[in-house]
Amino acid sequence: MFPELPPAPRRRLTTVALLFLTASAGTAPPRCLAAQGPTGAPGAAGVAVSGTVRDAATHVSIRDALVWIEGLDRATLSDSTGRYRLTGVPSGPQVLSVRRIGFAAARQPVDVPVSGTITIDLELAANALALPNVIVTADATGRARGELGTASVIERDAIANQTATSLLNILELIPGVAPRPPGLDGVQQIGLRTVPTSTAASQTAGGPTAADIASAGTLIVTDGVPLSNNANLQSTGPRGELQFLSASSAGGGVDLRAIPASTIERVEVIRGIPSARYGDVTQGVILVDTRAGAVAPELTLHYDGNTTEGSLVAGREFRARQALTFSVDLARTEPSPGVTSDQASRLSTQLAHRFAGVRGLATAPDSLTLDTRLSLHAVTDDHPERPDVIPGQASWSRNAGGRLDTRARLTRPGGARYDLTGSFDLGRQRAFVQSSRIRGALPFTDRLTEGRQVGKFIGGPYVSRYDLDGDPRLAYVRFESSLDPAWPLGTQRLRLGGELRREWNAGAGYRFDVEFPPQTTFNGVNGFDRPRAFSATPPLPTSALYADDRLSRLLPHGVPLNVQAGLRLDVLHRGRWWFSKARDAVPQGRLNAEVAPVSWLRLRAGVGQVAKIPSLAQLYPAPQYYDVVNVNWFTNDPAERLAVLSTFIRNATNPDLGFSRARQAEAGVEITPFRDATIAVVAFSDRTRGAVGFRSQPQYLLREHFDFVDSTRGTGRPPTIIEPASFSDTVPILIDRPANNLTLTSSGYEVTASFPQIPALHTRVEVAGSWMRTDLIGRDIDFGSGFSSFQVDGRIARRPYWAGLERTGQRALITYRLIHHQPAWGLVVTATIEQIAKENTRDVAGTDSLAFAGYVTRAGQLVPVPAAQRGDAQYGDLRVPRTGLFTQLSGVAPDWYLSVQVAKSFLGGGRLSFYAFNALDRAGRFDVTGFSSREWPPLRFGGELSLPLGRRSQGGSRGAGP
Amino acid sequence: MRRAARPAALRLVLGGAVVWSIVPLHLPAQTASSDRATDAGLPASLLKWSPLISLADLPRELPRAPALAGAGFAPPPHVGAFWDAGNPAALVEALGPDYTDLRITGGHEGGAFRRPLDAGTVDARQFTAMAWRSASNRNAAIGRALIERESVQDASNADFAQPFASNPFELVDTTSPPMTRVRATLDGALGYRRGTWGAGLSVGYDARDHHTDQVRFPRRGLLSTVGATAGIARAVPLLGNGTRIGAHLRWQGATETVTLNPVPGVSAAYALAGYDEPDLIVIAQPPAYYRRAARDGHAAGLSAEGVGFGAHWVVGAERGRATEGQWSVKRANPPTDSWRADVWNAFATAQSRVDRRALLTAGVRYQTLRGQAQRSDIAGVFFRTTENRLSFRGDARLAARDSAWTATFATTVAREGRLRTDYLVPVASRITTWQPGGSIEVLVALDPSVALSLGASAARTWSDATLPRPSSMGPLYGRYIAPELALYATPAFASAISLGIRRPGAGGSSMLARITRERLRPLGSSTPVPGAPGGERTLWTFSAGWARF
Repeated sequence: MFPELPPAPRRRLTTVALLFLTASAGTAPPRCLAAQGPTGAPGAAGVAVSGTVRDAATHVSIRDALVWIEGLDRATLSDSTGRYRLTGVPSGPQVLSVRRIGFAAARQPVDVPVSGTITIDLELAANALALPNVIVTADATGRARGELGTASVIERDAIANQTATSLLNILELIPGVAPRPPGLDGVQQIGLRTVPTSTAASQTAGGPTAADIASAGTLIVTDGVPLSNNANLQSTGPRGELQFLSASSAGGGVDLRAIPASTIERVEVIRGIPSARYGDVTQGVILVDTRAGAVAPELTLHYDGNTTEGSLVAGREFRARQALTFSVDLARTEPSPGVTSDQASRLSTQLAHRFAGVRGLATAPDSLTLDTRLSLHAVTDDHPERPDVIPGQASWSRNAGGRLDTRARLTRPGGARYDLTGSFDLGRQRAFVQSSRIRGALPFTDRLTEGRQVGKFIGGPYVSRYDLDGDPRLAYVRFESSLDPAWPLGTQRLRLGGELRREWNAGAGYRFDVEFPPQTTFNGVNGFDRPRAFSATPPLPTSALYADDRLSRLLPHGVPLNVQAGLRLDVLHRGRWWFSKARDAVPQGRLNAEVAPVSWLRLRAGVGQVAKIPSLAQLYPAPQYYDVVNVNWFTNDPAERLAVLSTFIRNATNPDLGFSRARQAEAGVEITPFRDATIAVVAFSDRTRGAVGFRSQPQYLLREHFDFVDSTRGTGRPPTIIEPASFSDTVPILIDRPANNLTLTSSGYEVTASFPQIPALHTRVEVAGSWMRTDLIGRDIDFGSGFSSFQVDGRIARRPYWAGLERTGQRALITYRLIHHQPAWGLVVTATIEQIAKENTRDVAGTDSLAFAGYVTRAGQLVPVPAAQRGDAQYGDLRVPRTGLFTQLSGVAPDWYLSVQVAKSFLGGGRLSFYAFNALDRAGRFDVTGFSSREWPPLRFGGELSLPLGRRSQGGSRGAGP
Repeated sequence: MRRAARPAALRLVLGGAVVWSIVPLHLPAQTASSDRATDAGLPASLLKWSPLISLADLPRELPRAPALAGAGFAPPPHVGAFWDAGNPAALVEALGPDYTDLRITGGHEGGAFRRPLDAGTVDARQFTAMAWRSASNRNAAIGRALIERESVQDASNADFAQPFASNPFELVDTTSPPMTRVRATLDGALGYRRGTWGAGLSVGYDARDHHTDQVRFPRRGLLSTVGATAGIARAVPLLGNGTRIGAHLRWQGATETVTLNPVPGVSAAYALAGYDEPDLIVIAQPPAYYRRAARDGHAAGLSAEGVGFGAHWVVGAERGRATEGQWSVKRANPPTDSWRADVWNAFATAQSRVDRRALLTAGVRYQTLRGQAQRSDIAGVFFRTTENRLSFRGDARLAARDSAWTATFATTVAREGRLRTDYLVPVASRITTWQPGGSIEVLVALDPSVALSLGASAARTWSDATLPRPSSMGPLYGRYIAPELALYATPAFASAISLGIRRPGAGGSSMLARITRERLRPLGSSTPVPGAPGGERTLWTFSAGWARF
């Protein structure tokens, strides 16, 4: 079945290195490498693509270049004359990629006919800027490896052109993602296919925003292993006044600052329905391949007025079958230089090793490869005190982490492949917040258990300090087999796999001096926070099984059809390990199909279910403390004062909490009206049910009231209370319990259009646009902002509650990119216009005095009131306006800004680039009153220099590079 | 192995140099103003084409000695509609052999002889790259990049980046803090020729970021400038071989934002408008005080060039208008102080090569500006200015036969007249300044691998001035404006010396290094004009790099 390749010992080295280069851990490398050799026979089906790989500068043919079809397992190496041949290539639009050590990778879109052979010559250059068809933007019609859903592929050339500090800046190439200037200022999270919604203050205190849910539901996979933020407990709980810790990514997705752009080789963003391989996701999947393999050493330096960054990447092959890659990135950002001393910094380093046990390459492809990576990172945020401005206020965070992951891959004759992947993530998260506070004289207890005790009075100014010390852990194992079953319907690729993951947190937790807590308000019921050890939180074990099959076949009239169908089962376990019973389980079916009835038209559609694991913080929230004041005897003489308080502790855990479930659907069309022009339109609708919010459940506490004696003033002694209590009353409370009570819906359109270059101007235009609407719907009731006074004022017998709330947002974002490319000069100028054509937010809820849905009694009982009776006289005390909502449509006029990137080849393989974000320093749009304005981020500009430090190997003279 | 190591070593050296030029190290470095192309070692005549050069403005500058020609360190003066009029349509004809220049520059400027809005001490580092290529005989391109970082001690009271423009609006505060100033400039031009027609486009972008360094009263400024020039040209055979006429349109737009962050008790600023006393702006409460300027300018010009009487000549004229608005309120249609200026610019330049051993270049340029300003709080024009500048430069480069010596002589004469009238006070200042100067620079090849250059230049200024009497004006006039006017009225002497070394390499490339010291001091044993500063001002500049031409 497999043709024989010419024996070439050096070729084995090349194969090892090129495999390493292209087959990042966890992503499917081109298989059948040997089978598609230059002398290979045509496959049983499909078309043969052949040609010659040459040096763009010298036109000398290049041997040992790896050529493959993106998204498919079709690959080959060019022979000694630079010739290559790929067989069995499905017809329709494909992307041909070529790569060789010492040269920049190149891609070539190809329209593959229904039958026959086509010849595509490929060119490589030391510097991608010197290639005529370099792609410096995301390829919206690219193919994620092994995926059929809508995806954007961002290659190294585009990453290098993006002058990005972290992964987030790279993702700005995706339709619908609003850009932000490079730097490390602020937590960076990404939520695919969602836009910001209104955030009514009374509804979001402690609860998640749409952005939180979307970023938590966006799965990020680096080198085949998922990142997770599920064990991040760096939050102080649902009490709204404590949510200002800006350096915490708890409650949302991972902080992307930890992933430096300089060390990324390729990013695939699956915006559509992912294959069954991916779990713990509701929004989309981002696959990141870091630079690994025999990489020519490269030093990159970045500087602007805010950010300084340096990175080094180098890889070396040794002992024929092994390769070692090292990367390090060091960056620092001052968000407001000269104004504050705030700064964020990052150190990221990775050591990657590959052992490639290739045997019998010439006769039978059969190999065992072992990839091992050690990754370390540290991201710090410092906000030192500014005594002149806000005395006493300061905060910092130190988030560090390490990952050791390894993957063993056995490739068997016939193309079967078996992967075993394991990783262990160890995090160390430290945060400190300090602030000056003033509180009035309050009765206070530091009791940590339930019961009554004599307290004391505290008050006056103080400096509160608290630490959040978390040590999140993630253990992850995946087994996967990929087979080519000989089923009758067509060419198939079947993947079967399973995952085990366990997440926990071993940190010291939330620590502070109980007497000087971060909160200052106390109404006599809702107690101050208490310290909490994160290590006491149980672990979160989950497991999954999946099967995924991809079918390719030709329909009548030569119409190619691709179908990918999969089923996945995620299980959340009750106990500490995977052997315990299931707490929740979600079967998820996924289906993608693609058909190209004519060569210039491709239709795609997909539908599927995905699910997100609840986080540790949601599964095991902190206990809630209530300190009920029984006696409050306050006199001028401190010795005569008496405070007696009863402490109640309520467990906020929700035993019914489970997965968030999302249903995704999309349909798209890709048109190639003429050569080098592509227009793609995708319509999508995502609906996440059971996203985790807080459910305020009313209960009551019994408050004892005491009589006391010896209360004469001037005695120098406090009075004595008389046991038992003279009477008791009830105090209503609300327990904020995590619940699957939110629904996040997003729908919209994404449009990408790429137009061919105008030869005379060396310029082409790309447009990426999106219109999205996001609704965050709360199904539960809420009690408004006046519940605190209801708790303490026994004269108020009842209080209204309202039905749920819908927060909405919509945005039309259009990105125009004008790309001027002069290959002869190695020059690329990219002008990007970012236009928000429409943006508005609105709360949808009744706010009039008849909007209430019922009332809660002092015993915590909910009494619904039918709508027809709400106007009755007996409910007059309940007819109060619902406040804190923004039901007016809040929109800002359309506006735009321009960013510029200029990249020039420099000393051969080097690159000197310049960027200016919001280059014209457009301020934004203001209305006449100065309110309801949109302010763009100010101008930020800088330069970047990339220097190759090693020699470029010449084609045909040396195997796999350095 | 040795051969292989060289590129890597060169990359490391250049990479290190770039790093050194931009990273925030506190080493003594560079120059007061990167507007002076000579500060980076590139002759100003090579940069007049830039669409970023001042349009409809005659900024007030400190006297300086004539720029040294840089013989052997840069291409000789170029003459043509591209180089002198900035018409990119003439680019194809304007370029000689391909040229590449990478240079780092460091410098230090300091001294007491300065205006109130000048920085006290400036250390700067700069990286510049410039190149041009003729892709064929039908199209060509030129480009330049500059990145600069300055550390300023005892910074200016001025909050805008360029406080000496013709317009009378300036924001100042009462502090002179240490500052960091970062600047990046990119400009380039493309020219096409089809038969007798030529067309071209040049585009430039300049961004600056100024911010204080850890002071109680933080200040930050952002300036962004975009310029573009489009031109056409046509050969006109009737007027002689090589004669071409051209027309061009220039546009330049800029926005500048200054933010002063409030600190209780220490924050105060003044929005100067002419010679009137401005109100005190107390900046004690959030939000930060904000002042924004939007500038817009456009110009149209004609030029002609040709060869006659053994010389390559070019003449041209340009008419331009600039407007500027400044406001401090973040809302639509804010109250705006406005400025409008109309400018004429005419020039003539000729260059002749004699017996292949002498290159003679001479040029004269005349600029005149009329401007008027309006304040948002009163109706009508309150300030007018009439300014003009006439300048001449002659340059002779001589290479002796069979000798290793090359000499360059230059002479310059400049006359500036400025009449600035404030109708609110009312008062006017009239200053006429003459500045003749000259320079000599010699280059000697010690052997085929090393050449040394030595240069010196000097200029003297004297003025005829009628100034408002400070005692009759307000205290802020006396603090911020009177010393500046007094300095212009003070006779001064500017000088410069330079020493350079060039090491030729393969393929016409050279490694270059040059150090220059400039000095400015008032003439006379005592200060002749009341309020004028004393002392002197010095500027050390060191540049090194690699060039191929």
